[in-house]
Amino acid sequence: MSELSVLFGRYNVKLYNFFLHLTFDPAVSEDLTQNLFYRIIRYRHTFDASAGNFRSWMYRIARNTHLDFCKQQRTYPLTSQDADPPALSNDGYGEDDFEKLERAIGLLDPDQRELIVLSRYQGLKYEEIARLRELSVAAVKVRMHRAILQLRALYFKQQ
Amino acid sequence: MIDAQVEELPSTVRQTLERHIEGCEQCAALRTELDHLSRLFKTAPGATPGPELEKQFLQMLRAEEGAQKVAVQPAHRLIFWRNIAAAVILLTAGIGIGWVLSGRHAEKQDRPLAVKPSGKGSDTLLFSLLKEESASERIKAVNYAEEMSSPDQRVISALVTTLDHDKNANVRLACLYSLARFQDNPYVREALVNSLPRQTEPIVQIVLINLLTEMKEPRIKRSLQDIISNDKTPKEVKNIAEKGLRTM
Repeated sequence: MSELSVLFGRYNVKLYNFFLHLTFDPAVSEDLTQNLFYRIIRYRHTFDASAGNFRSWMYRIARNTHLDFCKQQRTYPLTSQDADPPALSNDGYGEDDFEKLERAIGLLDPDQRELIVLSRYQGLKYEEIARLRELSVAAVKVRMHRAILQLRALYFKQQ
Repeated sequence: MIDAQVEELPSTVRQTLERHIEGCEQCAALRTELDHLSRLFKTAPGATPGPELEKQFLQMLRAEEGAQKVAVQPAHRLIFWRNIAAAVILLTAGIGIGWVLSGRHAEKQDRPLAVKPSGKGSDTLLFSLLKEESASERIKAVNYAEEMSSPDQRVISALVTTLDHDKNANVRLACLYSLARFQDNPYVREALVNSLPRQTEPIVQIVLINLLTEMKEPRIKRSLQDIISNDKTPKEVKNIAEKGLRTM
């Protein structure tokens, strides 16, 4: 059980941000993070190290938690036009830059948004994303290229 | 160019790319923009969840620890030792749960009067929070109820309704812990008995069975038998129900 506390300490902020970038809603993101850790506690015995590393297993549960939420809401993820972007502090760039980025991410389709969040914010490698999404690495690369180019267009169009 | 931002390209590929960008204005502009986005991703400060998240996580962990204590069974021992172990586990779990629940009760009693949020204002806040879409807010409402030294019947009824009908297992679990303080109240006792067949989440079932078993509540025999005979009941819950039935 102490390992679970360590795990929570290590990942709770990162996973909260994962949900926040997908939902743009801090309260919902806290709920989803809480549900995710509930599932981790409850189903930790189902983790099979031979089937992949723990991080992949955890993100798989995180994705399912988010998809279940979307089904419950009977809507696909919000766009950033539906909700205020999270307040992000400035760190080298103007706050406007980060808000523009959040808006652009919110305008992507859900599949592209998830890819960007997993790769660029959560730091998952293409191989990990491929396992998670049950795609080939080549397919992930193709989709990522499209997503980044779409994001670039949406971001710079705002200037 | 996009791959180069997240992975190391072979040196020959990188050199070819650099040579091309030097001579191609369009690709140089693209790279400038991609680098800008890449730096934004790297420097974007993350948001921090509220303190409630950790509090709720620890609450879930404690519930799981309690459930695990009673669910543990030696797999390859003689029947005699298995029975001894089961008895010890049951006793430990009973004491553990009793200790947790009575400790929570004592803790509340020891608190100074200043922390009692009683009165209509806090009741209104509680009822309003219980209707929130967010599970975190509903757990906050249950925590408000815990702060009340002697909640009135409306508050108790709201907790019972939430225990029976809330869609979130963590909210139901929080309600269960809160109601356990009033296990001597006949209304609460009956509500806990009636709630058992409604619960489908294993962790809530386990904690509720342990509580009612500790209370030596004979009216749950039928519910325990139904849980045991239900094919969909997880093995851990069946084990707890069988042990509970044996102690009746």
